[in-house]
Amino acid sequence: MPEQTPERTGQPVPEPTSNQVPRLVVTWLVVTVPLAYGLFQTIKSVVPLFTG
Amino acid sequence: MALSFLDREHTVARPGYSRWLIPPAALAIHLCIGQAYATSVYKNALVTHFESSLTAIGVIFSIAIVMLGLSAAVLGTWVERAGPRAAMFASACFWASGFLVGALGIATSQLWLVYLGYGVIGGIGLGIGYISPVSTLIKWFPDRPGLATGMAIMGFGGGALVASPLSRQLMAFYDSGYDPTDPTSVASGSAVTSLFVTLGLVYFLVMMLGVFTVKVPPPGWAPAGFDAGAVTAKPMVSAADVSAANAIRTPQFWFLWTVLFCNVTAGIGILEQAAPMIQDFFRDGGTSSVAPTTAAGFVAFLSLFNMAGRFVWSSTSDYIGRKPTYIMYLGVGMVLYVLLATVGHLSTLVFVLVAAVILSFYGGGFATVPAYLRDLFGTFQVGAIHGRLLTAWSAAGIAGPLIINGFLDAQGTPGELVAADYRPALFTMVGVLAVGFIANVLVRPVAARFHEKPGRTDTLAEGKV
Repeated sequence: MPEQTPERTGQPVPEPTSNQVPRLVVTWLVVTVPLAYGLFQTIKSVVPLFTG
Repeated sequence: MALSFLDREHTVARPGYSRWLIPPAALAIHLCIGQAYATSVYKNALVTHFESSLTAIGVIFSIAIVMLGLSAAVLGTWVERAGPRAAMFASACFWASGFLVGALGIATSQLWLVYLGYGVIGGIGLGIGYISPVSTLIKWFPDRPGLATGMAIMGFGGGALVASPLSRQLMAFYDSGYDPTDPTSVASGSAVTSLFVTLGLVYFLVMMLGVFTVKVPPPGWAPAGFDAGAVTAKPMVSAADVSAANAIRTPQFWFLWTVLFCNVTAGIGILEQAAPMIQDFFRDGGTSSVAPTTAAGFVAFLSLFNMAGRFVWSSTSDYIGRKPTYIMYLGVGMVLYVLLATVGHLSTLVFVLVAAVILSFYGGGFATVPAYLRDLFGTFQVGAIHGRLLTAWSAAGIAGPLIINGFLDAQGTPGELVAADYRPALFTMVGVLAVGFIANVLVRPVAARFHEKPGRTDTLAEGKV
């Protein structure tokens, strides 16, 4: 008897979990690295407010 | 068709797709379009290049913000119908093209081309981009809509934090005579042209990350352990859906429009004059104890709180409810404005902290409103309703500076005033916040006659009618 795979039953194929981890890391890095750069630069310019 | 991958039906996630891929997709869009708040970086360079006035150059930004409100309002329903991927792609094309047409305008010394490019074309990209991820985020995070939209809209605030230093460094790279650390140094027109081309290309690529990552949840999807009944059992949260066309016929929409308008108007009152304001508040005998570099640090400090408020307060609203959150923004905001007007001049620390909390409420107001709309009108066309509501932002962008500048112009020139000269403007903002407070108190659940019939929303969302 053929195996009841999602394709045979017409059900959507589940997303492989292993593929998602690198994708999660890359997408979060693409947005958090520039944000961290912007935060660092902004905090640098805030310093005179408390020292000057 | 080559672009069929953009269609809504091609963006339905397969089971198991991680919903934590959606916030970075949304952030990729908002971080890029948030550049709109960093235009002051090259303002003086454009004034010199076009031999024009600050007002004429400021019009570029004004056109962009007006186009943001208009395009979000007009194209909101299309964004809902076409889906987030097509909307993000359209936003990326408009936003990047806006920079390229603007660059052509600077290179050929045609200011009208910059108005058309960055202002009109880029402004359409801003409007579509701003609302494009909102309803998708709310559908993926029915348990934490405030957190999800707060994350994306925080990105809009963060976009300026990234674009300001990046633009300075790029202009220094393209023009060796420009010193990014010297506030009086002005970059050449060709350096701003190259900056526009670079930003246009880089933003297009980053926004493509959002385009290729975003997906809509399959029909009926819910996160593990999510109890829809528990959410709708909360006060002021509806399980029913209201279309965008019906939403604008409800008093709730217009109460929220007033709430957003008042909150933004009051926040702009401080943002608009932040640097001269702190110097004027601590002026004694014509000399201010606050140096220009310290004033610039104050502006940066406010932008940090503006950004943080978007995430922190919007996430908090998931626990304390949207209406109480706006009671805090507007009610506590009124008290803080009174404090600023009456005792703000006594201590720099008090002045800075009070202004920072006010700005966090300003940012929080932007970020919490999509979740408030979801609670009242459901998820069906929440992005389109949000788009229509953003006309309040455009209106406040005109009213806020008009109010504050009108009062201050009557007293003298900002940068040469004293704390007392700001009191009429600050007390007017208390009145503006009071109007918003009353509007928020009047918000009640939407009447059943505006609700969509069960089943109709699915048919409409799938484009079957």
